[in-house]
Formats: sequence, structure tokens, C-alpha cells
Amino acid sequence: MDEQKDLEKLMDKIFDVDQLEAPSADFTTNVLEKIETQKKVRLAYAPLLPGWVFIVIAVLVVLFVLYVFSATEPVALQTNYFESVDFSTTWLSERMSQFRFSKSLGYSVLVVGVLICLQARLLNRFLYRTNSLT
Amino acid sequence: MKENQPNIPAILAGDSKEFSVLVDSYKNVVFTVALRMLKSREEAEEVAQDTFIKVFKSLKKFKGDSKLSTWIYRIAYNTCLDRLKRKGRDQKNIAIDEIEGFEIKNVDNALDGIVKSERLELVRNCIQKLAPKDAALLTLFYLEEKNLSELGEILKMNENSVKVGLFRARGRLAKILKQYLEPEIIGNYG
Repeated sequence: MDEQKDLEKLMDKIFDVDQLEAPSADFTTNVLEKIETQKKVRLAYAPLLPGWVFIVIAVLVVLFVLYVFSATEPVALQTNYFESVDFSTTWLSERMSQFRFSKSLGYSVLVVGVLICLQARLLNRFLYRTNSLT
Repeated sequence: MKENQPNIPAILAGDSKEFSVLVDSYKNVVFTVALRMLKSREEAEEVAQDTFIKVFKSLKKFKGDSKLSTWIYRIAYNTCLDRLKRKGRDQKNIAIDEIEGFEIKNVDNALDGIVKSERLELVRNCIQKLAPKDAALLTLFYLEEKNLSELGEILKMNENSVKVGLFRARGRLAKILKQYLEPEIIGNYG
């Protein structure tokens, strides 16, 4: 017990002379600058894909949907289209003529596309909010 | 040090001047703990800055369940531990024999024979030799006067473990000090 008291007394003597150390003079300014820089980096939001790629994708999706919905019968790829581009073998054109887009496939593609866009938008907003500084 | 308490709602509203008040209030303690844990001024400065950036980012999550200082020191302590882990540095204590009662008295007497200015340098050198956790414990207990419960919150330990940890850290520091003061102790006998 005495040993513990002596040890505590010694520690009091040691820490009586000990003092807190100070960082560099511009410490606070550096912290504030770093925070401002991080704020700017986060505000300068850059999407992964440039805008024109989204426009091209959107045009292609619209054209596809219009094409599928404008046909009264299930859409079939025409054999003569493949013949016109002069395939050296007729195997592909024979197979493609059997390939048909049904309306339900069109609906499915549309629904999946809309869901992906919606999810991307929601995730984007969620991540932006959780990572934002203020 | 704490007369100028930072205004948290103002900081949350984006007042950077208020945040600089907070940084100025706690930077010395955060820097001292970081320096004593990491043993390098450059790294301590970096980690102390990272600590305040983390504080700024998560201040809105601070609900006031603990003291603001305790919350900030916990962030500082964890940031130091992350840095030590990333650098793969050993955080364990070096095996030091227990200090005997008569040795404590010898160290105490030898310390009296050293002038105050030299004593500060000696104490700092000895603290630098301590393991990061011991250094943080002793610094926060003696310089920041944190109680056992607050120390437990900062270091994620229960009060009993803090008590035991403090006792062992004191013993290790005394033993290191004894090694430094060996010539004076021998001189006192002569």
C-alpha cells in the first residue's frame, strides 16, 4: 500500500513539471483550409458517365420502345436485312429470322430500365447526403 | 483553457470562426496525446489535424451524452490507433520488471537533485519510451485530469481496467525513469 502511495507521489512530482505541447502556429488555419478544400471537392460532383452518353442511351431506349410498341404483330428481324449486308454464310440470318421480340419482353426491358434509373438516382442522392460535410 | 466554450449550433450552421474556437481549445491536448502515442511531431500534427476534420464531419452526431472533450479525445485516440495499425507499429508494452518500493524512493530522491528545466526534458524523454496506450492514459489522467470513468470512455475500457492500466503505466514510467537516473542514484549512495 505504501509502495502505491510512494508511486503516486512520484507521479505527482513528475507530472508537476510536465506540460502540454503545442502544435505548429498555423495549426488551426491548416485545419480550416483542409475542411474548406474537402467541402469544395465534394461540391464539385462529377458523374461517372458524361451527359452525352446518357442522352445517347436515352435516345436508343426511346427508339427501341417506339419500335416495339408501334408493331401490331410481334416484331421479327427481317431476313433480307441480314442478306443486304451480305453475310457470307446464311446460318446467322436463318437463326435471326426465328428470333422474335414479344411485347412482354418490351415491357420487361422498359420496367427494368426504369428501376435501374430510379435506383441509381436514389443511391446517388443517398451517398451524396451521407458524404456531405454539412 | 475551457473558459471559451465553442458554440456547437453555430458550428453546425457553418460558422468556421466558432470551429476555430473549438480547435484552439483542444488542439494542445489532442496534439500532446498524438505526439506521445506516435512519437513523431510530423505524424502527431497530421493526426491531430485529421482528428479535428473528423470532429467537424461528425459533430452533428454528438448528442452530448459525454463531455465534448471526452468525445474529441476518443476520436483522437482512435485516429492514433488507426495510424499505428496502418504503419504496423508495435503497440505493446516492452516487458519491464516491477519496480520495488525502495527503487521508487531512490528515483524520488534522485529527481529532487535535478533542476526543474532539466526535469521537464527528462520526463518527456521517459514518456516517449512508454507504449502508446500507457502514454495516452497518463497524459489524459495527469495533464487533462480526466477521471476513471471518462478515461474508460476514451479508451473503451471499464473503470477497473483503467485503474489497473494506470497502476501498471505508473510502474513502467518509474522504471524507465530509474534507468535514466541510474548515475544520480549511484551518486547519491556514493
